[in-house]
Amino acid sequence: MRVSTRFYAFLREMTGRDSDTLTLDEGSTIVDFLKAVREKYGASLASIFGVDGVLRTGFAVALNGDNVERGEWGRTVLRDGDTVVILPPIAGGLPE
Amino acid sequence: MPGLPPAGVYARDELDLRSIFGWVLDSVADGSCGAVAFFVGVVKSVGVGEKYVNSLVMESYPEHANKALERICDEVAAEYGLRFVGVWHLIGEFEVGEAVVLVAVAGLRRKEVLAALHTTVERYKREPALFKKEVYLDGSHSWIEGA
Repeated sequence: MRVSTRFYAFLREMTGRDSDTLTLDEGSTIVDFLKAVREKYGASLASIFGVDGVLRTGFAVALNGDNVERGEWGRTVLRDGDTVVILPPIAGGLPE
Repeated sequence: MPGLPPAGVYARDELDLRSIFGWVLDSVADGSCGAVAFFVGVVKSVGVGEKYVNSLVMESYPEHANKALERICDEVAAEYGLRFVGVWHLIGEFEVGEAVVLVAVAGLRRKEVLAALHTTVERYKREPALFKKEVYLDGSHSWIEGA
């Protein structure tokens, strides 16, 4: 199946791309998606993944525009045509 | 509220934030509200690290940001028992001193309205997928991580 993704803010600068489409096995989850992103963009996105390969704290993942809690990533099965986006730390403003 | 554009993100040339003031004030002209409060976010001249700002770039993942802003407005209005909460956030490139976001809250009493305005501002700064880049006079730039 094919899953779309987009890159925003400094992730776009790091990858040099606005978007991409990844081919994943049927039954893949968000964890599998992140693994595929890491494999494809490992060099440019290395700093957003920890040494354990897990997306660093502060980043979020949205599925079709809705955040998915980190604890649900391994249980959230993707479907063909889904859009999965890694969200950089949200940037509306600075602490007062 | 009838006539008001829905809460969400808009290209900078797509929505005149000044017009929102008039729409909101017209909509409370029936006497249904005792208080209306506004918050305007403006590009400041000194940014992170005390560096002088040349411009601010706002971008969004609109499918996420629009849902989040709509949810914030609905939840804050329900939490404080208000008639109306709205957030309109512009995206694009802005000069120092330009307004980039407007929040409007209307309800019966100022206590709830002012508290709800604060809650709405804090939430819109954290929840929608909005990304903010400060471009400095020295040519460097920085993506600003949120609160």
